[in-house]
Amino acid sequence: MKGLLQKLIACSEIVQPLVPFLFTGDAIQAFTALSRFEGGTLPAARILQLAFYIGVCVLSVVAGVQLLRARPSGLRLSILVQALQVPVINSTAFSYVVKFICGVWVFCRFDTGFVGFHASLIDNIEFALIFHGEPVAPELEINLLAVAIIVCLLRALRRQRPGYVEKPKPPLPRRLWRFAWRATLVLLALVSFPLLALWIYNRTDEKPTAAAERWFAPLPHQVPDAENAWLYMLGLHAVSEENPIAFGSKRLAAYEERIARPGPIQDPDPTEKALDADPLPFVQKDESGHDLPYTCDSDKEDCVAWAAKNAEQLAELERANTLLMQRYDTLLGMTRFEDSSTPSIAEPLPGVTHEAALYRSLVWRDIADPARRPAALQRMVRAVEFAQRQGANATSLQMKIFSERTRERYMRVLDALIDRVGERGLDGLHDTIDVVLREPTAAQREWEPTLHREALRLATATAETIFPGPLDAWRYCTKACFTN
Amino acid sequence: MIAQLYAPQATRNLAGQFWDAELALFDGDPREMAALGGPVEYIIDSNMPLNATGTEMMRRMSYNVAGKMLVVVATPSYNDYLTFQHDSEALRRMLLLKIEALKERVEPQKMPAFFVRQRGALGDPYTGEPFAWDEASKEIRFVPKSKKWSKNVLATVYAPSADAARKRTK
Repeated sequence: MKGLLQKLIACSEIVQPLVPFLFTGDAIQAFTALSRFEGGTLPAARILQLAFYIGVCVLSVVAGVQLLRARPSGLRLSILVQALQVPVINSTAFSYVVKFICGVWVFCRFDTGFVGFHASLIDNIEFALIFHGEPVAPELEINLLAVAIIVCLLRALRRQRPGYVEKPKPPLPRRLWRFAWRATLVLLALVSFPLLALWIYNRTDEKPTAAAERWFAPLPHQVPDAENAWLYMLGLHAVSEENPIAFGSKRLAAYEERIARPGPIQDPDPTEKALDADPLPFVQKDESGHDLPYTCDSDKEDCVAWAAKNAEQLAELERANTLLMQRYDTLLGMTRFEDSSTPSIAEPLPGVTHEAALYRSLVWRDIADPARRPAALQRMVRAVEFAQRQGANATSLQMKIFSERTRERYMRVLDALIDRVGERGLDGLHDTIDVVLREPTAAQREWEPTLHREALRLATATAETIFPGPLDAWRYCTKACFTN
Repeated sequence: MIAQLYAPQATRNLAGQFWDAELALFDGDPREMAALGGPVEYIIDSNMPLNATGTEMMRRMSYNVAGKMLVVVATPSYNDYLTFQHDSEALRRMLLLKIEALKERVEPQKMPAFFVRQRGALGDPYTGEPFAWDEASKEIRFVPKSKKWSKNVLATVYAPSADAARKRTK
């Protein structure tokens, strides 16, 4: 068995350097490998390269012949030939490559940190011995096949020593088991070493930058609950006996309690779910259960005509939602606005879209009637001024866009009104135009608070999604560590 | 497993860079949106170079891959909200333009020249150029950029002599 292996090694050492010369194409390829570094290379260096190439080939053939003939020098020369094939170095300052037709190489590319391996059974011939060559990415490769052959040859050399006594061979199953075990270990090492390196690399973290500290600072809470229009919106659908602010506060508290629990964001518990349901919902149907129209899209139809046509139904809706519409009107008079919830993907969103739509539809209805128009204009101004305050103070994207939408929709109402009154009626609309088409303030145009809240929302999502391993938990834990 | 490839502070630092670039875009002049969007694109491309070689991609992603994914991939694009704001501003300007034209009793056929005179403060927010005028429908027109509109064109009728309300119902 051992003799056969040595003969195989010897044959490969004889054949491999000659293969390129058996096939013209391969020979050309081999010499092309030399010309790769040709630009600006001195003639002496070229001669050195050629001599190196021929020397390695001749040495390999001689070593193979000697090994085949079982000469004592055969083993030593073969070890030298294999050792020449072990390293492959590529860099601009120095390159060394001896690749015969087969091998298994593990490589590391230092510019990218990429580690991997590749193997070749045929057609991978390359020779180089270059000093100050063309710029190449630094790379180191190790030929594992050559290393394995060296181990075999060293063992054979050891057996030739005088007085060497060979250990008795273990039984075949045990040898097979040992081989399987070692192969598994090697494979595991091949996978786990890069992973371990990656893990260690990822254990280093950066120091906080000023930008990060600014974006992830908590949002200030400045508006007292009793004056906060956002909280009023959140509790707008409270039962008639309850103050919307108080109901909104209950909803907020339930959410805050849930979000403060350690671990991933949980679903609302039954208490919070009960609070989520509107105790005083917006009525959208008549007594017989038919939907009543309360919203008009001015892009699709003439809303003045639509409101006139549906005046009766709108009045019915107004009656059915009297308390909600009164509350909505109160909301429009509130001057302070602040999104009070902890930013997260599960944060509560105040919903007053139905009331806002009905309120606007009633404006559509009333602007057509000269007797009702002044009151309608006042309501319009009230709604737009609230939207402007909301846009200037809202930190959530939804509230900011809701305010923008409201302004835009009342612009459409104003546009329709101007079309009705013409140039002569503009004086009567002076105050309304002044408010509805007022240039947005710097605070309305400012996006920092909104993006700040978005940054915090995503940070909460991350904190609730990615759970640190024990090492990171220890590094980042500041209080009550490992007690939850 | 994800946590093992996640560096919390590096993620926040990257997010800080990202939000700074976003803010510059959002608070910037809409006429310079393309240039202001460059740094945002750069942050995305440099952290997740989808068009680079596999090796380059692996090199960039070898550190804090989870954090980079969260900042670069999981963060939604807010551009539609920004353009919605600019589109609304266009509508506001169009109405102001219409009112000015009504006050000055500008004849419809002279509207393009009137738009040119007013383009400084009352032009297209994205270009600063005058708004478009549709002679056939007597409309001031603007093509919004946000996808949040139900129509592809924002328009307002300008018909000083005729009844614009009647024209609107047609």
